[in-house]
Amino acid sequence: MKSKTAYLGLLLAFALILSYIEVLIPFSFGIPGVKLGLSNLAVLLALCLLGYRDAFLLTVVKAIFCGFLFGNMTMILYSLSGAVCSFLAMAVMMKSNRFHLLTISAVGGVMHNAGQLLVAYFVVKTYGIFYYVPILILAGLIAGILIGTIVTLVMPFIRNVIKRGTNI
Amino acid sequence: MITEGKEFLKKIKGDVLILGIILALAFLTWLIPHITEDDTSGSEVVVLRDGNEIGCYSLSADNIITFQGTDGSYNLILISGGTVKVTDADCPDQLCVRQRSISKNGESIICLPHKLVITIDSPEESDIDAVTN
Repeated sequence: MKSKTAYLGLLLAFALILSYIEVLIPFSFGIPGVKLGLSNLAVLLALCLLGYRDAFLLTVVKAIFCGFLFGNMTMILYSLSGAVCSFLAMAVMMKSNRFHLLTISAVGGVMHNAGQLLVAYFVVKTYGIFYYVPILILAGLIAGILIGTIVTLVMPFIRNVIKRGTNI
Repeated sequence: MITEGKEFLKKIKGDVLILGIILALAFLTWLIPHITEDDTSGSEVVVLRDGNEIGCYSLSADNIITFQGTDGSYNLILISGGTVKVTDADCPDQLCVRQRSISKNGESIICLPHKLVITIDSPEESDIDAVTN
């Protein structure tokens, strides 16, 4: 793939649009931190298509941009820690080549919540928030599996398009 | 095709392992707060009316207390064997009377019509509450 930068920009735009859509959908489960995490679609695609370095760049830039666009400094802190945790877990699993994309995404979802919870603990310094752990694990798992399913289904088509693009 | 199938099976093994670990972790983190013995030896029963503390009693000592409001309304609270219960009250909804007895730190019985809150507080926990208030 020659035009990595172009793809990186494309995926970043994709991630931001997905974040925007997620803000639009009134999707509240009553528990802070439980959400679908649609923009992880873009991160997962970047991991598959562009490699670790660019995917990491996308993760960080996405978290910062989303924070500025739809949130505030605290939100950047939360989503950055979650996104980096999630990315590291997914990258390691991807590298080991022993897991399906679906599982990688599921673990990514769980780790996203784990990273956020860790920051939340340092902010409020109350053990009380750890009562949320089981709920957050399950929520991350379900969200991750959904995202993983989409990426698994979509990947063959995208690979096809990219292959055709470079042939021309 | 066969190698692909092998690859698939190999990955399934990893998938099942890691998802199993995550589910076990979720189950454990759910279970631990439910089975760990809550240390209520030094805990106190704190009664608030309208947000102001109007009474504080040891959870370990059996006790019967009546809280009389200015308008003559009352709640009868029974502390026995480390549990707290509202046994009688003249509030219209009777929710506080029907609520099961509480025995763990942080649990509370609330009588909304009388603006009465009965909570079990451990000394350490109230410190944290004061900070994060």
